Amino acid sequence: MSHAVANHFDVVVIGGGHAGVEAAWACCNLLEPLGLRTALITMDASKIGVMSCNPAIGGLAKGQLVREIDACGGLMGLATDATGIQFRLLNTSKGPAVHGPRAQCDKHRYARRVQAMLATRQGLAVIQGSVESLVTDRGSIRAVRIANAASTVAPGADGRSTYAAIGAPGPIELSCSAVVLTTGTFMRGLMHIGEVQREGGRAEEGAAVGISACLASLGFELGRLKTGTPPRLRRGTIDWESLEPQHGDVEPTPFSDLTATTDHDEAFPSLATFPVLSQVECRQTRTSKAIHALIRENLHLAPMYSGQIEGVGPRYCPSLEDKVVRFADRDSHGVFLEPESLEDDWIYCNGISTSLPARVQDAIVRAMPGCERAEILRHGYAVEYDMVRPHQLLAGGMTKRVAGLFLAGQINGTSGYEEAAAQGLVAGINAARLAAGSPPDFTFGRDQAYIGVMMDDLVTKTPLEPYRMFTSRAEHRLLLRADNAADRLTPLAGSLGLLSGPLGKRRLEMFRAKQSRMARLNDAIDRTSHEGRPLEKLLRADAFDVADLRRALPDEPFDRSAWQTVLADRRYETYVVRQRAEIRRQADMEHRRIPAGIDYLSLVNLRTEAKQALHRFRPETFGQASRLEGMTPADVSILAVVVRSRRDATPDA
Amino acid sequence: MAGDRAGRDSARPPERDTIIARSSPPGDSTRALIRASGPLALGLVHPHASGRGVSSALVTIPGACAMLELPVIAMAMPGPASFTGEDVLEVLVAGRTHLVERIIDAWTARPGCRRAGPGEFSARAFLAGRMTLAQAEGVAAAIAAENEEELEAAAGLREGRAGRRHAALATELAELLAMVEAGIDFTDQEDVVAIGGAELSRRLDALLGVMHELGAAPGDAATIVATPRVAIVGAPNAGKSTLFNALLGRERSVVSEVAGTTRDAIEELLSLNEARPGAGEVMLVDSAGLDDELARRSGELERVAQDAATAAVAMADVALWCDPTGRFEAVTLPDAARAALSRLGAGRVLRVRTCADRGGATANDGLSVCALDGFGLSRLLRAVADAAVTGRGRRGLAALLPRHRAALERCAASLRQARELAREAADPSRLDRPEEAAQTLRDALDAAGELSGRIGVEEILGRVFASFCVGK
Repeated sequence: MSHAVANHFDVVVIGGGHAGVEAAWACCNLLEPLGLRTALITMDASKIGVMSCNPAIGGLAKGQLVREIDACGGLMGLATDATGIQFRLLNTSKGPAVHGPRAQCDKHRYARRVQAMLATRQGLAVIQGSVESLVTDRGSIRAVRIANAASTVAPGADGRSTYAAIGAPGPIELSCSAVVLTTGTFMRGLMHIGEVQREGGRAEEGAAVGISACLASLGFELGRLKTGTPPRLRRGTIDWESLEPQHGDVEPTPFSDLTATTDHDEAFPSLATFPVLSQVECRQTRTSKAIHALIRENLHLAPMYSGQIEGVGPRYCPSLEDKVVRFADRDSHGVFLEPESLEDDWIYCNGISTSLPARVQDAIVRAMPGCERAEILRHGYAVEYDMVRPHQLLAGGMTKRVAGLFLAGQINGTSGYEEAAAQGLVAGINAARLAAGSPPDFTFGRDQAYIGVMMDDLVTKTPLEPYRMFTSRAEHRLLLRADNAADRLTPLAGSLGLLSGPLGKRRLEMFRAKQSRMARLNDAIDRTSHEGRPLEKLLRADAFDVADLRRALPDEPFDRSAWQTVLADRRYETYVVRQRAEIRRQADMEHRRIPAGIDYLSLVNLRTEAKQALHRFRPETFGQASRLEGMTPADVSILAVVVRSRRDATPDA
Repeated sequence: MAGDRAGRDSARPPERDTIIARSSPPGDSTRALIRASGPLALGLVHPHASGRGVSSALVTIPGACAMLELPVIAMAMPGPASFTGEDVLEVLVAGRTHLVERIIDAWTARPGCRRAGPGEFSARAFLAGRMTLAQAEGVAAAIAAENEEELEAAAGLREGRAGRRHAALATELAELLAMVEAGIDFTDQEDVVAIGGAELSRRLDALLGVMHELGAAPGDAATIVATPRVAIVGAPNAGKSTLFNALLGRERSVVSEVAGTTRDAIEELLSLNEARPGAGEVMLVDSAGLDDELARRSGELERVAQDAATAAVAMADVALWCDPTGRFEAVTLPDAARAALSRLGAGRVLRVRTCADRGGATANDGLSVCALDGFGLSRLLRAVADAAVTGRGRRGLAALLPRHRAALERCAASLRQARELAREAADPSRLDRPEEAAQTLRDALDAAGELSGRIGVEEILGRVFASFCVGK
């Protein structure tokens, strides 16, 4: 055991995907000023920040998540802005609450950008190796055991390795206060192409095999999910010009407020011009009756239908075989051909995720217009992986069972880079808080952020499929907009300590500047009449936009961000006023905490259904309890009485 | 690192709803007591009142055509020295149920006020430290009991015809919301055709029409609550209508030798004061004969009649189960009616052997009556009066119906708002403000959910995924 506890890190992040890097980034933001250290362990450091599926970030609801991560000093928005090759603001024909920024990225540059950003962090060590097990002591995380040769990869911006001791090959143990575990699709990952199965979480990579057993032995209830990815084609073999193009926005919208400004921190000079990379267009093609017939003939070879796959896949992202079976009346489905990089000629076939055998995939692709001669560079595949059922989590990302163990990303049953990154942010914040001696119970409210909606959903509902964010999940959708993400969250992030670096300080300055511009504009609106009517009334009209407002207030200094937010606030004012009143009235119950350790099954006055829901989910607050299926408001009242009487009965509690 | 809730709107103290409910037993009486607790309680009668004390006042409420002024006695108890620890107002009013309900309606229409849920006063009292620890168990049990009664009453309502119409309403609303949400969240999917303003407004018109009918269903909810309902049930041609007429002392129901003559439920007020002085009135309900076979295989018309009859039992406080044979075999009744009878319990199901004049089997555990010569009628009336007194104490329906009515009204108001938005669309094949329409539809669905069970986002998304091929 000479190697045991050779190294101590305050937080160890396992996994270098979108959850892991955001967790590590948040930890650095919080811990570097305190001189505390973070480690990121990955099986292959060159794969950090890789986009395993569609190289796109954002979209409806997901775009809001990225804006929120960015407002909290996160990494994803900056990396996207620096590497986007097509930007589109979705849903612009509808109101601002449901606008969704989306960008396609150069997948190679995105991953490199993320790696470069991590390399700027003084307090971060990236360690290559594969985690064998988690070491716990009396219900708390104590260390992480790494099985194979581990080496320091990114020692810090100054280029000097501070952690040379890890360079020795062989098993090592890293002691730590907190672990953020982000396994993605790698935990007992099993890939399927037709009848061919191979262990691994991603094409040409291996699986993480030890962790599942380790989690099971710690008492966690595991589940199994399935996801899939479409074939990739070689661009030069597609009759590209014959297909209908889809362009990005003429005026692209960046994700990060920092990108939109002209003066940047010197660490990120390339953001001074936006967009940074030359922009590309996508092309559209379609499936056909003949293709659908071909799929039906070969359905018995599809792992989803042959019984070979046991994991549950998402209904909102069906494989092509699913589409053909479930929507048998459709003759055709659209397929978007999306370039994956400026550096290679890989094309992503958005819309035909499949795990049919390779020869069937070949036939399908070649039956699509423009793809008659297309070469498949990588066949589509399905991947099954283990997850931890998320009712075992606290809303702050820590497991209820093991103190100091945080989970983020697909391990919690979610899908999507943005969902993963948002959980990484929350887990990173709380892991760092724990390491720094604060309670790891920070949460965003459902009325504060989509991130809060997601975490609350995860810990109060039983997911039927991989969880993806939709705007309809947010009951306060009109409040939670992409345009006001910084207004909602930047002060909060500042008070948590996430914005202590130079970039963070810049965010706080921008927040204050926007607030004063908004106040000034609101004043101007309230005292101005336009075309004989109070401006305040005029601007509620549907068609009234920022350009109209500029015409009405020609002398006011223009600032797009502030003006858009003011206009949106005014537009939704009546709803928002009502919702805020409702939020205030429920705030008392919403945030009141329920002590852990209640033996719900022994309570006499609760209905069986309520007891079972409480027993399984062990909610942290009365707000969470009220959202469990099977709970009535009266059950919540009874619970309140029980909790109060227990507290009064045990003076030291 | 900073506090947990940093940045949250913490400057303002948490506001709480002011909860209001009738706290005297349901039904007409000389005086009724309304109780209110919460920050707005003291201002309900006197807008600027703040001190402790008893006062008389006039309460103004909207009447059928003009404002009504009702004399009340108000007792103000400012917190924390009150029952709940909050500001509490207790108001004595004349005990006519419809007036009591109208006052509560008027007050709960104010922002920040609502009707109290089961056991809510007790829960607030306990949480404010106004009860001892020893009382906690009792408080929890009391809330549980009230909850149980309301859940039972709700289950009963859901089984009835009105319940099914509420469920149909909620389903249509969920469908509409799903179509609007599909147009918001899946707009980039080629397969999703968003619902247009014209279509949405047409379907909302239809929904509002249905809701109008629901609201105008026989008997104002307040009356339904106030007066114990006595349903005459039994197989077709068991002599129910004959008994109904005999008890009323006049011809109201069409009596015929042909089984199944009574299709719609017929209701009449019946005074029991002669049989038992002070017993008051009950609502006597005659409905179609219940028959399991008929309910299963007959045509639309018969099924409607069976539904109405089953609903009558589900809503009843007392049932007169008529059987000329005296055998009272539950197996002949449809499942829902049987369940409703067993919910009422033995004390409130009176077994009546009708047509005693026909002789035959002797009634061993039933009351024998002959409607033709009045044999046994006054004994039956006394039994009804006794059973009705037991029924009157039940809170379930009494608490549920006014809340349901308020929920229906909120639902309708939100639907009208959604219809406005749908009509505003410049291009009728589109919806200009789908996120606002969705907000109002969601409010409406939440209100409808109070009647028919909560419908959550997962179900809405399920409908979207079932109707559209999403995921490109």
